[in-house]
Parts: sequence; structure tokens; C-alpha cells
Amino acid sequence: MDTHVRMDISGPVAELVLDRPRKRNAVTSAMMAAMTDAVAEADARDDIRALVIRGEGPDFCAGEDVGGLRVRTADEARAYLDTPLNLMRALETLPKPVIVAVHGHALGFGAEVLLVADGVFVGPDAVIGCAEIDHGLVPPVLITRGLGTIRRRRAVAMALLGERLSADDAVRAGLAHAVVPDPREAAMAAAREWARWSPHGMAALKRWLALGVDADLGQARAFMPEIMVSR
Amino acid sequence: MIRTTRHGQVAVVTLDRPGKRNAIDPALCYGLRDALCADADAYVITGGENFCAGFDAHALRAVDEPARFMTEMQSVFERMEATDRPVVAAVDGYALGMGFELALVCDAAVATADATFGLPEITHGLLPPVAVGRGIDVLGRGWIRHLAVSGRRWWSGTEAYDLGLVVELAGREDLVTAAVSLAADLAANPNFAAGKRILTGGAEYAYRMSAETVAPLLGTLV
Repeated sequence: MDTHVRMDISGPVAELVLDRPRKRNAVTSAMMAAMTDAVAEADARDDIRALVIRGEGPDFCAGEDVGGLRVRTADEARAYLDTPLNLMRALETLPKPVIVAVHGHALGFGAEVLLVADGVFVGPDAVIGCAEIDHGLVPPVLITRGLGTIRRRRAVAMALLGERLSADDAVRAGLAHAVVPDPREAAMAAAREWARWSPHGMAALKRWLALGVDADLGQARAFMPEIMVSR
Repeated sequence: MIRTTRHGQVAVVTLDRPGKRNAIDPALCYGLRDALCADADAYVITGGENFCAGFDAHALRAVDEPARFMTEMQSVFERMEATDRPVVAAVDGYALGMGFELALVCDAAVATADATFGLPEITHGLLPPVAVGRGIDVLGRGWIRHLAVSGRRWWSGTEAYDLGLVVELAGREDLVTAAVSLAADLAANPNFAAGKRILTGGAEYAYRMSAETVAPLLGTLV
């Protein structure tokens, strides 16, 4: 697959791999669309009971590769935003556990995707933050959905000051859940264990945890176009 | 099942079913409800060696209408938030599932450093309704999600303190004294009732959702 995204399946666990190490796994629109398709497949297949997301190479994900994106109108902005926001919605509404293994940098999209995960295992070297402010932007999921997900003050500092979190700080903020020497191994072990819980109970739990996601992401869809056009 | 002792104007309500680690069955639920209606300026809920290891799934199977028991338990949580009096948890040992939720719904919690907090419901095919409905406000969705989906991640008392569930750590011998002292301090604040009403606004919605969400799952208890 030349989209630099692949899904490996072993037993009940699907592993969604960002595979663009030369660009530190910066995600393009095409990669995010491919990830959304992969999440839909994981949703549709009864044999898949947990989803792990990880990255190849030295970093988990360095953000979105916007490649000289210039947005002139609100409609163009909305069209661009649909891809990341649809992916975030698909992940949060997946009725199965979502687990992320983080090593190295998790920036921008790489940090925001942690907000919709049920388990985030980070290496001791992890650096987590949002660089949107450097481009005159704000991280759309962090300042909407993220405010109910992690410590609010941390979310604001990350979004508006560009604060970077260490692995330990991310755990304190609620953005990560354990600092481990091998994040992939910890994520896979968790996925295999959680895959054993009743799919019926898990679906009910996940449905409830996802309450309000459409309203929150709707906020992002409402205010982001103006920011993107005026920057 | 429930013992109540007085420490000045503070009622100390002790869950006393040590053989079952204070797992909540209907009798304990009704005892707790009645104890929280006793006349006092403040309440401390505690449990001896273990605070509370959750609801008693075996007892629930024996109940004619498990959904009704869940509704009764919701009314205990509602009572804890509806009363104008402070309610403080004093936690040692296990506070799992409904025990976690009991500590969460209190106005404040004191714990020992090696107390153990967790949400194992999903390992039985259930979910922790109050932790999801109320805990997201208190602890954030990020951690609630992890505890509830994993079913196997325990917080120590120290972690619960760092992450905002517990406001004070105490040694085992001083635990109840510390909780009584905190409860009396809260009760001495003339604005406590008004502050509590503001802070617990919107809770009814969470509890109604709780009963509606869990009832259909009880038939599939594993």
C-alpha cells in the first residue's frame, strides 16, 4: 500500500501501522483516509476485538503533513477538515478497545489521536505536544473534545502555548496511562487481554464513553474554517 | 452489615462485611441508605481492612429483580450528592467497581498510600455506570476510559492522590481520624451546602443514564 499505512492482523488484534519513517510518520490526508478505512474494517470484522496504533521508525508521528496547504475559503477548509475529524470520530466510536504505542515524538495529530484511545503506552523518551500554534493554527480536537478528556489546564497550555509534555507529565495529565520500556509490547499485551472482555459489554461501555463526541467535534468544524482562512 | 458510630457531630458509617471484602448486596445497600439519613452534621464512609470490593455479583444473581437493586443503589449515590451534609470516604484496601464509585461520589476521599482503586466491571461483561457518568467530570475521560476499558489497571492510593480522586493520604491508624477531621472542617463552612449544590449540578442526568445503560446488560452477566 503506497499510502504508508498498513494493518497487520494477529489473532483478535489489528495493528494499524504508520509506515513513513523518513518523514517521521507525518500523516497526509491520504494516510488519514486510509486509516479511517482500516478502522471501518476493524469495526466490521467480528474476529477483530482490539485495535493497536503505532509507528515505524524513531518517532510515533510528527504531525500532519500539510505540504504547503493553502486554504482560501471556508468551504475548502471544511473539506480539508473532514478527513482528520472523520478519523477521530471513527476511532472514538469504534466499539472495541483502541490502544496507542508511543515512542519518540507524538506531535499535532500524533498527540490528538491519544485523546480518543483507551490505552496509551509511552516510552520514557516520549515528547508529546501540539505544534499548530507555530503555523497560526489551533489543535481542533484538543481544544474541543480534549477539554473533557485530560486536565483542562494542561490542554490549554498545550493548545495555546505549544507546551510539550514528557512521558510522566502525559500520565499526570491523563493523556497517557503508563510509561514502559517497550510501548509496542505493552500495547499488544493489553490488546490481547482486553480482547477477552465481552464484546457486548465493551460496545455498551464504549458507546457511553463516546457520548457527546459529535457535539464536541461539531464545535471544531464550526470554528476552524475561519482560523484556517485568516491565518 | 453497617455499623454507625459517632465522633462528635460526625457519623462514621462502617461497611462491615469483611468476609466478602464489603461487597455490596441488597442488605448492605439498604443499610447504607438508612445510615446516610441519620441525623448528623457530616458523614464518613469507611470499611476497615477493605473499603469495598464492588457489588456482590453472586448476591445479584439471587435477587428477583437485579435491575431494581441497581436502581436502589443509584438512589444511595443520589442521596450522597443530594444531602446538604459533607460525605467523606476513608479508604484502605480495595475500592473496586462500586467501591470506587462510592469513593468517587463522596465530596472528598482520604486514603492510605497502598489502597487499591480500579474498575473491573468489564471483565464480567458489565460497565461502571457512575464512574463513567460522574467520573469523567471529576477525573477526565482519559483516565476513566482507561480504568473502565482495561478492567485490570489498579491505582494505588498515591496514584489516586496524584490524579485527583483522593485529597489526602493518611496512615492506616490515622485514616478515620483524618476523614472525621476533614468532614468536620467541611461541615463548619457555612457555605458548604450552597457550594455542594453548585458542584453537583447535573448529576441527576448521569444517574438516570446509569440505570438505563446497565439494566440491559445484567442479563448477560458473565
